[in-house]
Amino acid sequence: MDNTSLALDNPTISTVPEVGQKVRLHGREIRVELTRAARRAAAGLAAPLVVEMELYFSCLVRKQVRVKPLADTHLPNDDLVSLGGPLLLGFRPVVAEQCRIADLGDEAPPLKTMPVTKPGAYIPHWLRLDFHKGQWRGEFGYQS
Amino acid sequence: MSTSPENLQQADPRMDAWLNQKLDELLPTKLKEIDEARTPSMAIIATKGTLDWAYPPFILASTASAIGWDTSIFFTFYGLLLLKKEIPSEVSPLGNPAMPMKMPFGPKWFQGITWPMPNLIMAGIPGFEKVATSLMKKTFKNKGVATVDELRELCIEADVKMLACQMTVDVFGFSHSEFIDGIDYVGATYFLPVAKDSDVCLFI
Repeated sequence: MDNTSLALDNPTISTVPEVGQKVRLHGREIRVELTRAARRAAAGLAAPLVVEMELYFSCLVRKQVRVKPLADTHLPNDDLVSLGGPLLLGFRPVVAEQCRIADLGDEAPPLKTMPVTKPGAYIPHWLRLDFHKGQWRGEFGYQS
Repeated sequence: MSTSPENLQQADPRMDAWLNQKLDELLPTKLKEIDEARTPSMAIIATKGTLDWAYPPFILASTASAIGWDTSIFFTFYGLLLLKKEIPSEVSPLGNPAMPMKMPFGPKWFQGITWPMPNLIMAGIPGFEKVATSLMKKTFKNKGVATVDELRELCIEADVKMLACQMTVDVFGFSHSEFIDGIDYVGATYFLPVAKDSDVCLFI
């Protein structure tokens, strides 16, 4: 049984994520740094929470960390790794589902997962995660 | 029926008709299958080294490679600077009169203002390029936009072929040690057939 299934089967597990740990996703190593507040919040989670590293391909390429309950993620369980306990990590390349922004009003364009042929090549090198005033905040990048 | 040359000759019109009908039936499907089985390709010619012009080749190349296209970028003239170990790019308002001036700080209404700065003034003020570069980098960072260095890294990881124009290297007096690893130094005679055979060829 891998870490992911362990975390999914035991959502109340309270393993505290390590400081500066490295995890592998799609065969690539990611250096993960959680602040003390983030580790404390992760250890107290009652249900699995997914940290999605979203790479949005558009006129520019935007990086965004989204933290959401497991039920809300579009990522399959096989594409998630555990950061310790019920805190899971995944990578989601996306594109806009439609470009007719006039139809969208003030809403952000709906996104869909982009079928990347070599996902390993696009996996970030590092992730930093913080928990501040009840909100998860994070960033990721491709250079050390 | 005998297969004498006379009989075959008589059968020709019917054979031709049969063959034409079969081709009409089968060829579109077959061509579609061939087209779907082949890998699309893109060749980009990057000629500019300013920060704003550094984004398009790397964004398009990393996106094309992500969806499985064979992608090459040919860096020539000032585009060669995008392959230096430290990308020296700055924003230049010269030749870009449509460049909007926006502030990356303050309340949303303030950030939404497009400052009416005439191009002539932007180009003439000493240090303006540094300020504009700083503002663009700050704006992009605030919006989570990947940096040029990151996009270049993505391209390399995704096997985009990075081709440097050897002639430009020689003319500008650069040495290979000034550039990142993983580059092929080629000439136009190498790149032109690549461009000819590509499905998409872009000059940036």
